[in-house]
Amino acid sequence: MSDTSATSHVAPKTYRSSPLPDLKLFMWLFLASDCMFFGTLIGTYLVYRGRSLEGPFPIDVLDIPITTVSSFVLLMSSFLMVLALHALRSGNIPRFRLWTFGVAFFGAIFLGFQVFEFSTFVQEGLTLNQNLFGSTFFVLTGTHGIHVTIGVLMLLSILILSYVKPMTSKDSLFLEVTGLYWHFVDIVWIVIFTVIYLVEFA
Amino acid sequence: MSDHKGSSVATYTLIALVLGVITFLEFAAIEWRPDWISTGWLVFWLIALSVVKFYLVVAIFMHLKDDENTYSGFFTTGMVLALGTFVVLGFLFTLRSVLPVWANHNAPEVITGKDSHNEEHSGGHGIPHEISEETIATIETDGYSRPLQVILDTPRPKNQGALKITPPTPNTGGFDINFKPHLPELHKSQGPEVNNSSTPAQNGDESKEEAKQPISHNNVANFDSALALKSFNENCSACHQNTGLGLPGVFPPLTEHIANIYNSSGGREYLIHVPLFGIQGPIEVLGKNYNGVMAGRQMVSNEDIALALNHAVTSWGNLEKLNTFSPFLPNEVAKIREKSLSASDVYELRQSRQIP
Amino acid sequence: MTYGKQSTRSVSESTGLLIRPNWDRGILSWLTTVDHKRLGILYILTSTFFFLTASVEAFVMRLQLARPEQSLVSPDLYNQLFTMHGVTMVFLAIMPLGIGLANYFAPLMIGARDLAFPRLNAFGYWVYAFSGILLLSSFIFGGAPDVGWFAYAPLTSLSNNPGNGVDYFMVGLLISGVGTLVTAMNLIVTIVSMRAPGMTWFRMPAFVWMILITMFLIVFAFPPLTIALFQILMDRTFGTLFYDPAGGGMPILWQHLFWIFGHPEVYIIILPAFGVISEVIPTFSRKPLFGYAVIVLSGIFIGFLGFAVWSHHMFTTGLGPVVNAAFTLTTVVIGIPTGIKVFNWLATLWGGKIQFTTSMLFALAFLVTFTLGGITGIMLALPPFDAQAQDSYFVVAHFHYVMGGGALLAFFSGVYYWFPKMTGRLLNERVGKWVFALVVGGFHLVFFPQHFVGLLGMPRRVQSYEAGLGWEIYNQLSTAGTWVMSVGALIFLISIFQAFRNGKVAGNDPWDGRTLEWSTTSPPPYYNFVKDPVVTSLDSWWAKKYPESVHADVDHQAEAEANHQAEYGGAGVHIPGQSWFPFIAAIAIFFGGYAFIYDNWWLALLLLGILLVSCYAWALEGVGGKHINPESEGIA
Repeated sequence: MSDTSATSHVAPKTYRSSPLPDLKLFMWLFLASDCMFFGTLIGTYLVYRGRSLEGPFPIDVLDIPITTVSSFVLLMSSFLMVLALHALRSGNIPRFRLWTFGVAFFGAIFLGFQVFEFSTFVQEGLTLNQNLFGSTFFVLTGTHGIHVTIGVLMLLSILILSYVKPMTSKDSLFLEVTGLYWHFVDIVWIVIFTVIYLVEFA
Repeated sequence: MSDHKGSSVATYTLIALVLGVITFLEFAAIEWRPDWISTGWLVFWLIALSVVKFYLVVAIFMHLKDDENTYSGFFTTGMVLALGTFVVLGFLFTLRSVLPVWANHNAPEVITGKDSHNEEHSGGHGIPHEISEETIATIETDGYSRPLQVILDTPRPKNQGALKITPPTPNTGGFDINFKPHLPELHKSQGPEVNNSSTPAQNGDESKEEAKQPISHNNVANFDSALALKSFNENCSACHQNTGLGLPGVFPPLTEHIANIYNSSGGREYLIHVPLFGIQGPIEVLGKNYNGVMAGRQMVSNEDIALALNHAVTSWGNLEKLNTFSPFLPNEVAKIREKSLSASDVYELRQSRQIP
Repeated sequence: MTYGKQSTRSVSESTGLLIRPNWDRGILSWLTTVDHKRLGILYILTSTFFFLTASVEAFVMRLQLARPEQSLVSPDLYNQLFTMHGVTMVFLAIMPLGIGLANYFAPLMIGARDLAFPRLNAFGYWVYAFSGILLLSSFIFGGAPDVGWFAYAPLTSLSNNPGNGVDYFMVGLLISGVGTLVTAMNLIVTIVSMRAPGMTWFRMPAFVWMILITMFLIVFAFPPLTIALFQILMDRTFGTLFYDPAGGGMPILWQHLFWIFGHPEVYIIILPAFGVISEVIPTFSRKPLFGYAVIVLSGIFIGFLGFAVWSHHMFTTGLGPVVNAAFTLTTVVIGIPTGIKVFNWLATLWGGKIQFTTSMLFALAFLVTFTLGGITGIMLALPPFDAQAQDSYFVVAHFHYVMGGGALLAFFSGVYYWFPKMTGRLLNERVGKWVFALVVGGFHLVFFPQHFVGLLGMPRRVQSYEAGLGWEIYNQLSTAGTWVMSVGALIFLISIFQAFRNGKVAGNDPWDGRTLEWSTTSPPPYYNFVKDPVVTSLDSWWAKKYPESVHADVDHQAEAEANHQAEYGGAGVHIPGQSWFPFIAAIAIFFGGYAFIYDNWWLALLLLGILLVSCYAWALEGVGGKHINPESEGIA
């Protein structure tokens, strides 16, 4: 059976028809499925774009400077993620812990920006059921936000676990797979930022 | 476990820098929008830049470029399916149901039955002036080897609905020359009917005077309002409701608005097209926007369509708003039926006549 | 009964706080099992239960329709019946039956000893079972959904449907979708990673290929459904405007999203059935599958193209002639690989030594019935015809022919084929012939007349109809057919019990099979195979038994086995440990579903907390289990 890192004994070599680790295969499959998931959400947004019967409209509320900063933060968190994985693979545990914390921290900052943006919009009159823009925007970015939150939880869990149990470079599969998830969440945001925010002002 | 240790820290830092720069470029393009770039190109470059960011993260941060192809296979399939499905979905919502190559370019002229040279067409199908009927008739074809231009310009048979429409059997119940009218009495104090055959456009102030007087009727025939109600209920009320109020956002109301259309120039004739051929396109009715598809009802007989129209135009307070009224007649419907238009053509007609 | 006996004597490792369950038998062993064979049996039993409930719903509907202008059930209850019949059959009966067979037999056929993620497998099952209970419970909690199995907006809006029925529909399907999705990913990883040494892609049994394609379809088709369900739920709970026309929403978007899922869904249902047929026909013709590579490739083609046909369910919604023509094109094209498969199966029969076992009879009936359904499908692919037949009983007849005559008959065939392997007992063949005659004959009696009454104008989803339209005879025949089928089903169930009581012992290989599952005992021991199977050709078990007949190189096979033994022999076999957490997580989701339906947010939050805790515990307890050496373990 596939031996994920948490068991205490090392399994003797078993035959596998593929050299690819099961967990990584699973995560890529999940990400492929998530493409359809976010594709549907973004597709719904685009189908309903420009069809709101009343305001506030995107051009009234979307704030490009602030969202650029939050997008930059998320992108940099991806950078820290690869650094964390690299550090763990090199056996540099303190660095790995630092960068992992950094990713979670940046993710939390991004979430903070999202919360700020949502509450600003609500104050400006854009709620979930105000118009189509409200419905589609909040559900799309809200779902993305939930994905980010889950990612932050996963990262913090790995971080805490690294103090409870010694983590070696052999355990890097878990971190790698979490990293894949995190990067995916980042690239979904790249698409959202362009399609929802930037194109609106083009 | 992947044998690759991943790229070096230097590479990652470089990529991160590139990502940051691209983000700044995108921001700059929007915040300090240069005048010399059109919207189309700006959107193109924004999307191109985000594709670059996407690729950098996927290929290098997620290490897909150097990993085994299986992962790429999974991810690419997902991306392709998602992109393909939702691009198609977008088109389904934005593409008109009839592509321009199939549309009748000359819809307005077809309606009047005359081309720009003011000659009557016998067939009623819009034939572009560039190629006359005689030309088409004389082009030697075996049905397949027509010149491309002829193929493109010859209008396709209009969509008559999914089924072959058999000519409706005449319904003789609704129209009878000798039938006495059952129309509501409007102004009991008034004397005999005033014959009012002038169009509103010619009347100016006079129309206001005439609107207060009893609406006259075409002396040729009248319509049975009970049968008109029946026809309306059977054919129209499912969507427009018995009350004529329709369904907000979905089915436009017929109250008041129909009267406005009737009163406008060319509106009365336009009204006949709608139940026959349907209409498709964004319209505004009583302050609300509608952008749906109304299917035509060519399976309904000329008599029933005329009856339903008469009901709609004279109910719910519409009759009082009319400047003048002459009932719709079956032979008018028959004449319009010959034009064989599509829902989009009716919309074009509406726009070209600037119907309210 | 010793099937699926799990590890016994040694206590599995404990990880401190959590002592892993380690039961052999009894109900607790079933609640905590992670063995794919036990879970496969659970899937099959549960789907049979839901088959029965859906059949009862259908039976009542047909009683109601037997005569015109009857009122056995009110229109409102009738709406609930046809909705639940559809939902139960599609989501809770026939799809899980395919997944159950896949769960049991895909690992065996590739020479693996379990799925890649055994606890996740258990979780997938429990989530499915609980979602079914949730959906079924709607009948007693205020009314089942009454909106049709496809739940078109805006009928499902809160203003049009204020009761809880629609919420049960949405939440129930959301939950079951989660289970289906994780099981699909689990099976894909298993098939990629855990094939026997030497089993290259094109030495894999056709059934496993069909399962692989099906699982990919699930991975890509379920997300749009999840989003659409979520959007309706948001509309109903928070007043969003996704499908609210007054706010500018477009109900037709629901149709698009639903059918973007819905069409691949029917391929998800039928491809495992194709896989079963691809195993049964060669076995009982004593010939290899004709055109194996073509069957595989056409399956892949169907998988891809299945995503491009969805709007053929929407021909009459006013999409326009261009769009209709495009989807007609893709729909007609997808008939081609399907037809190719049928011809390949026919070619397999040709020249074979046919054994008319019950399983084979069902497979042959499948060929005829499914093809008839496919033909009416091609008819419906043409918008001019579809405009006539839309929403009539013709469509009902079509999809029952492909789903019922197709998938159901194929799964009957599969059950008769694999029952001996799963239980060690043979089903009585004589009784089986009666079951076959009654089920197949009854099926045709039910659904063949429906083609005609549909073309005569009888609409779908009507609680009753006027007398004097000429529809009576067809409805009567149809209802009579349900009685015939019911007798057949009853006899089938009785024969299952009889097989356990005094059925003939099956032995390892009663059918002289071709694939690896027949190389082990019936039922297989909990470790599946004593020695790792080593594969050097397609139909590897057949090649091992009759090397001359396939010109197999016996020495090469022996050498391959020896090499494998040398390199991996010392590894032993790892048996995954049982676990509570898949079950607990599924329970939390189950009750969370109710909390969401009744808008009890604190309860939902609490259950989310329980779910999180059980996920953490699940991750932290590790794979657990132990290593054994099967040869010294002995055959159970």
